[in-house]
Amino acid sequence: MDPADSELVERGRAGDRQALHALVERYQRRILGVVVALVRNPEDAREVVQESFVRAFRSLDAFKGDSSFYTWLYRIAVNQAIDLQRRESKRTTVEYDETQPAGDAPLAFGGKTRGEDPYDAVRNRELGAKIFEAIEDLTPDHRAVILLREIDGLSYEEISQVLGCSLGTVMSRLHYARRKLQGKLKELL
Amino acid sequence: MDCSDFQDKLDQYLDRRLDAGEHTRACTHVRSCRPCDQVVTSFQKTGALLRTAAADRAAAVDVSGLWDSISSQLDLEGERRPAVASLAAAREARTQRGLRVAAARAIRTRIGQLVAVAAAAVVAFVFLGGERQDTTTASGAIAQSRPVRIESMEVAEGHRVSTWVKPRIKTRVIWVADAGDFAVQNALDER
Repeated sequence: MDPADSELVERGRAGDRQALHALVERYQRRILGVVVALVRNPEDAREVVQESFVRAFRSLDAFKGDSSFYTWLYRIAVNQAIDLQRRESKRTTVEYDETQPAGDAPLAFGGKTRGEDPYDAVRNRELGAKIFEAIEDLTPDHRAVILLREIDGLSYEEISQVLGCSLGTVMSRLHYARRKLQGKLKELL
Repeated sequence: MDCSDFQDKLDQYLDRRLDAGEHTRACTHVRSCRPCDQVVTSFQKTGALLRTAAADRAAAVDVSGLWDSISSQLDLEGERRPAVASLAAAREARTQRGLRVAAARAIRTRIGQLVAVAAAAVVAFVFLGGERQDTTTASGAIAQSRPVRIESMEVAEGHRVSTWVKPRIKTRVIWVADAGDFAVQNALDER
């Protein structure tokens, strides 16, 4: 039976690197799932996940156990990603991908079709790319709320805890983000 | 429940936050109202496509070696570096180190500029006789030293150690520098 998070955290506090390794293996993909949707490119996503684990492990003594370790780590990662987005949004440079034909929207990266019809797979991948374009038009705060809700299925209360905002704020941001996405995507759906 | 009521409760309906009675009334309305049914369907489809697109993105990220990177960073930050306040500060630190490494490599190609070395250079003075002595270092600073006993020393990969004794002041010098610098020093010694 796999050790519980609390046991791994205690062992990690005592300097057991194997315990920390186990926590990374257990949660790296789950954390990556929402981080990669929040930031623009995979290198940044990997770096945010790495930095989040490092921050969490350096602060293990401060982890009081009033939330699960995963929720605590998740909060660190999401806020790291949001901070990065806020800094990125202040830049005026525009990235140009020479591998993409001019005038075409870049497809979502990743080429798996999961056994679906190839035409549907391509179509859905194009829609996915359009969705991320629309997502990136949202502010970091609105983006975070809708991604935490839709991708990770967090409840309003959990989103409120992760982002450190009120329940009312979560609901209003979610309401706004959904309608804005609908407005941008209604011709495609 | 009419369309206006339903639209007000749409987010809570999608997220299953309505109480049982309201949820039943909402379901009844959706079944009988085509426009509201289409709105619900489009929201649900958006969510599904978002999850698929996010999963595709996540699958494309290589996490092999992530633990090694984390472990190395924990080792480095525990031993040498001050805590980095933010991801931006970490990036800036890496950029500055990269610039310093690039500048040092350019300087090494020029014979006679051995002092412009970017690699860590540690000079330890072991004094014979046990007396405290003042010496002038390569950079011109005055170093005040006492006898020390060196039991062991670890040298970072890519660096070499050279040791010699300055007989006039009875001083043993231990020089640790980037391996490339020794080629320059050897050329100077041979002239």
